[in-house]
Amino acid sequence: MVALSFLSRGPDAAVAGDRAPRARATLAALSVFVAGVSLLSLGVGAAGVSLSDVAWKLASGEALSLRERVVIFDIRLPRLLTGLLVGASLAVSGAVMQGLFRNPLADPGIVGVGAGAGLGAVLAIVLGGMLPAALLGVAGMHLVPLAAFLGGWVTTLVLYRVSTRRGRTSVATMLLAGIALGALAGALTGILVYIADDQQLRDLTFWGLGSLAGASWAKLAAAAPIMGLALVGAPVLARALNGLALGEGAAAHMGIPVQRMKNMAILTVAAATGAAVAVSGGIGFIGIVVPHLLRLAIGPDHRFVLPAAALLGAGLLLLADMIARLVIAPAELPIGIVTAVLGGPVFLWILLRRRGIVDM
Amino acid sequence: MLEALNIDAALGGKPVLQNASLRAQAGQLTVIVGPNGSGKTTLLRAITGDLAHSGTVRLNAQDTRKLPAWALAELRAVLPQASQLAFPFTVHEVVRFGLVGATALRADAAQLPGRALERVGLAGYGGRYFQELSGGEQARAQLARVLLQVWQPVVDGVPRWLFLDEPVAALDIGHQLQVMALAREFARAGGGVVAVMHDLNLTAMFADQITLMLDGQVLAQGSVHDVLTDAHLSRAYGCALRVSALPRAQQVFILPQATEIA
Amino acid sequence: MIRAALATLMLITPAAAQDRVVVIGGGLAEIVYALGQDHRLVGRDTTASFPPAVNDLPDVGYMRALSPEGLLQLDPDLILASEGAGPLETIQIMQAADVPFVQITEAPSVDAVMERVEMVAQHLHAQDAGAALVADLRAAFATLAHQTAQVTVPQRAMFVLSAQGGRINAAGRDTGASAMIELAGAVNAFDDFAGYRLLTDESIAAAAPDVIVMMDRDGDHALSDAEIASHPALGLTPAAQNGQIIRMNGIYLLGFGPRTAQAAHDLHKAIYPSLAHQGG
Repeated sequence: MVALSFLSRGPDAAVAGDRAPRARATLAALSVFVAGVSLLSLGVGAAGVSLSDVAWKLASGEALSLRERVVIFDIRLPRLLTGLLVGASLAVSGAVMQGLFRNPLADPGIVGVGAGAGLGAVLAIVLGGMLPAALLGVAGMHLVPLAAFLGGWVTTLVLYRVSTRRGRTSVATMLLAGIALGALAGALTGILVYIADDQQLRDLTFWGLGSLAGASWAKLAAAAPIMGLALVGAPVLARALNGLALGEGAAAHMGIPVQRMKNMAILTVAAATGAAVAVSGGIGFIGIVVPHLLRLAIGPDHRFVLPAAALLGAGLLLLADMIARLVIAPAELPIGIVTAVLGGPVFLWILLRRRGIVDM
Repeated sequence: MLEALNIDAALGGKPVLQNASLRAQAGQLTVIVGPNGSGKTTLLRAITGDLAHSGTVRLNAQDTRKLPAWALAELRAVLPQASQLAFPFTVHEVVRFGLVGATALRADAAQLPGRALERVGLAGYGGRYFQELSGGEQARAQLARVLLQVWQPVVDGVPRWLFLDEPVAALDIGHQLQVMALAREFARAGGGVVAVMHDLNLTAMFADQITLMLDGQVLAQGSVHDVLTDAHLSRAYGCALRVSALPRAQQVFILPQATEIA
Repeated sequence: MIRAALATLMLITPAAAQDRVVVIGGGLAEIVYALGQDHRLVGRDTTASFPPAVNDLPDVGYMRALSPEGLLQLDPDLILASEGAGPLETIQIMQAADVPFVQITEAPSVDAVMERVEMVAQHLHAQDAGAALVADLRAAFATLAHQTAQVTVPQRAMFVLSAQGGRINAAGRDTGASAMIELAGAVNAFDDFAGYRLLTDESIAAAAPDVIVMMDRDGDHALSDAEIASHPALGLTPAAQNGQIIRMNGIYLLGFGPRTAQAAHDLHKAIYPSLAHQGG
């Protein structure tokens, strides 16, 4: 919650509206925050293995116990990396989508992209076995994230086509189309759940709980390339999203290849959301709250909002995961519940405070 | 040199431009005038590539359709008629979007947005939210952004261009004169300016060349004295208009003639 | 210090005497208690709720969403789990941590109950207690079979899993509920599909069950007699008309553990009140 301390300030008159220095300072602070939360996340857990003990043993060359090795390297480390990637992906895909739709309410979770990605994942789990064995062998672990990405991509594409006429996006159409697409994806998912056999139902249950508990090196290896590619590609979009804030025509005259950038933005949203959904199920509010807080803190310039969203999203998701792991240990809360409990009120508070700025 | 040749365009199946051609020289302020619905903004939008059209548009002898977006942005900037903005950017941040290409790499790039704001009379406005400005202030802030994009009117001997769609529509008379003077200054420094205007008297004061449109076609093209005649204007605007000469300068002004007097 | 001492202790203790056992699955927990081995338990999952003492143990969460670190926190040396436990990642991590993770069949049949008892007994090195329990269970099931043999006209029974929003979810073939209905000497009114399924009103009317069996539960999954009577399809069944509605504790009815013979006997008595009196 580093960014919160900036919320009350408007643009600084002394630097005449240039919020870049503040944004750079915030990026630095967020980096420290993420590093701190990461260490904390490695060190904290139900099993009571202490990071300092492990670090001391590693440094002094003393052998780790099997328990320590498993807890740190097989449980907490893949979980940490998954949390970082998923949090960053959710926040960045929210920011990109809001920039693309020119609206702070566009969030992959709200407008059905998450549901579309979920449908893709469920399709892969239930019908994946019908694929020819050769293809299945190639796709393997990547099938579910890949299918989630495709599901998210198709949904985003349809959503954009439906709600954008002549370069202007109708927010009402977007939200309504998002509800319709989400319901459609949910219904198709329901049909698939109905025809799923017992083993598939179990896979679906694990997957749908919205948790990082299933994090493993194998899953990470399958989804990390897609999320990584989206995160690396996102900064390229920054100037285009800034330009789009002035409208497509103005963006084009600023030298932005608008159509190509829009396609790339849609792919980025789909890849980041899809892979995140495939790994961790539905985790809400990161995609809408994080960019929102950042726009209040450092302004809407996407050159800063995108990297800051990656950092804040990653850090907040790790915090939420720690809460999920610890409150009812040895059992775990689904992390989606934690983000909703924390994110919902924050979002309402933002809406109340800045009603003028969030005009539709 | 801007050459827009044989431009045809349609909106919703209805032809709005028929074989319209326009030539403009760098170093001059070229103004497109005409009554409502004559196609003057449409012609500008065709020239800037905002509207599908047939015919060719050549800027500095290069077909604009064959230039990539970034190259075109280095060559010309376009001021839209209406401005929209999606997020709460400050004025400074909006103007800064005009830092494109080589200009962004200049050593004094950080100072340029402030200087562009000074030029349009918005010094000290950088820290305000763009969305909280008045309509006229927003228009001038957008002009500052566009101006920044082609900050040097001539680069390596190649002129750069400003396309302005009704740049003074929302402004009071003082700022109208300020903005028109700015456009003329850009032209005097070697750049090219093409502006769509409503106000015939401002046009008469500042234009080097005028294109008069009527019903999607070019009715007259040439110098102020060639185009702004009683006959042309009365035909184009469908009412009696008299062009008079100012006594001292060689300028003209236009007065509407009430029917009973005419 | 204490941890170190414990670790040393564990090293020298023979593998035969695991005394930090986590049990995943309500039926398995019952078996552990029935074998008298409950003093060795250190944890259980959410589905384990009988006998009541099991609730005092730490809960590691839902059996299908086990947290690896939560399990390791309990420092188990054996995890006895139903087949459905998971996820796979957690099982793999337990194996990496050298914690035996034993999966035991959860099939809903009499044979599987015996097999479960024998497997749990074997893994807890309590084979004698296991053999005694199996013998008891065999005797109980034999009595039950003797009882149900008296049934001449089998009743058609329907098991309602839930009735959320008036939509009836009922048990078909190959379910624990179906197996219990058969053990009790009745037949499942819905044997044309496998698993649990939402039913249309027409299919309920067509099946015309003589008896409705439900779990006694609260909330919007529950159905009161009045709701059954007013339900467009259930209300028309012979079961509702004759008031043949039976409610039993869920884990007792469907647990397929040591109490299953008793549960089937109770169900049999409820379905055939007059027969039960004759048989004693």
